[in-house]
Amino acid sequence: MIRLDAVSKVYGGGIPALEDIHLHIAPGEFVSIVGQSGTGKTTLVKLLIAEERATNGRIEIGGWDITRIGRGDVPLLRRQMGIIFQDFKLLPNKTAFENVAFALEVAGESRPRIRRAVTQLLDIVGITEAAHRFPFELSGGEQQRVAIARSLAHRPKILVADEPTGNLDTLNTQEIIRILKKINEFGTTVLLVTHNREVVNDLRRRVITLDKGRISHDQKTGKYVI
Amino acid sequence: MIKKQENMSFNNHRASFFIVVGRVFRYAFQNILRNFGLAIITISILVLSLISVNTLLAVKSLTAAAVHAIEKQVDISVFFVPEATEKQVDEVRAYMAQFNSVTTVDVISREDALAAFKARHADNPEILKSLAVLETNPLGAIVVVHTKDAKDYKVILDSFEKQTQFNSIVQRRSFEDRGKIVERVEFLTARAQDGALGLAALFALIAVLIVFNAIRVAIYTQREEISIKKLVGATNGFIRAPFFIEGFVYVSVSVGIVAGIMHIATRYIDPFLGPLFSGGGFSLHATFFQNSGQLFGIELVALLAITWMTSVIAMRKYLQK
Repeated sequence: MIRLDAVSKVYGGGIPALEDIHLHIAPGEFVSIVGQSGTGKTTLVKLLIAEERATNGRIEIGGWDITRIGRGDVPLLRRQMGIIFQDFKLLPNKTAFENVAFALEVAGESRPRIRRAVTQLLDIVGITEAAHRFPFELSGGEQQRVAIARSLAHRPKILVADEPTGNLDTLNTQEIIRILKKINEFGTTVLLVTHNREVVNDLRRRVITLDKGRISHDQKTGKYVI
Repeated sequence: MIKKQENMSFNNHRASFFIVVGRVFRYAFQNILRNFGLAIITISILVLSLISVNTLLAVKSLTAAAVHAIEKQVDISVFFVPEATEKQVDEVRAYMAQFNSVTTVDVISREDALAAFKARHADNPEILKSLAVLETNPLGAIVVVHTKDAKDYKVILDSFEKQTQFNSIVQRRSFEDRGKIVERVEFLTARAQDGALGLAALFALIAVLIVFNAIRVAIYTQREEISIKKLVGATNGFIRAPFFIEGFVYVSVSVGIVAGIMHIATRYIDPFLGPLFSGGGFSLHATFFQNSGQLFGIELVALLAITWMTSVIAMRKYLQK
């Protein structure tokens, strides 16, 4: 599903953010990527969603080599991956319903299908009653649930979650992780970037540890080792 | 080589053109309504910029009209001795009329000159009494010459002075003391036109910079939204289009408001201009609204071009990710 071969990323200053990353994630896996701040976790996410280009190496997603992806193909790639961020990244001037609908509208889906899909998605993440509220009227947990619903709009095969619980309290963190596990159970590959020790240890799934831009550990049912 | 695998659930079917256009318009109007404060600020800046440019256009028209009025008041008047015959007066009239630059040559007969003199001094009984004492009309005929341009007077004056055969019948030439006035009018005309043009260009430049900045700020405040839209798979065109529509709405509303303001303002000012232009005929309202479609159309297109160009430049940075 996701394959990285000898991938490195060097920013302007010459210091590598990622170095010689070899990684293979199979369909349906739930993988946690952990590491301290500045170890390249977010850079890895940016490479996967084609926000940044790898300096060296090759990145393949679903058999699609995105290493030299054309600008026009980036939207197509992103419509097939669910992406969740720590700061939710909801459109402030759109309601929860409209935020989720937007992801389908950009792909040109019909209105009846959008209405059906969004209602269903908001129901899955348990936020139906807040459908017509704007992000500033929602709590952090609710906003993240809207973001998850949006990320599922295209029924993606891959879900990338970059520190999704970073701004949430324990209760909401557990709820978000529960939703992610449920999504994974339906067959979606989940890539969870986090530095939340408890979350990683409770999951008992594959853990990849990054240290100074390199993979230092890759455990099949691992724990947070730093 | 990019290879799009079949087993990925690609939902990249081509959307109907009308669905996309409909959505883009909906986003634009939704954005205007939900960012109403920003919309008001942007429109206000556009309106103020347009008003400054239109005010300068008004000043330029006024300057041109004022100069034209002054030019019209400058003329060459040849005053004849009372003994000059109609034939002799007509010879001078014919001489003046031969110049291509001359627009009109009017002859005021002795009788008309006397009537005008009486009318001019109607409130001065002493002058009228002195005139009554004289048995004959003491005034001669007058030939009044107008030219297309103020600078033409000098050529005619110089040429007429050389015609010595008219010396015996000409009592006085008004242009003898008008040479300097003519030169001054010429100088002022050129300076006023240059000044108004320069000032209009400066104001236009300032207006462009203000509009450029206003649009940049408007897009800067929405930079986060632009990057989010990119992250959820929107194409650059899909993100840009609502901004272009918003720009069109802002510009159209602004030009409409400015046209309304100029309509009211020029209607209010016009009566005050009447006494300044004794010849009449000048109307600031007519200057703006005789070809209003053309003037405000040009302003709309120019402002739209600036707005769209700025939008493209300002958004480019945020659309790269």
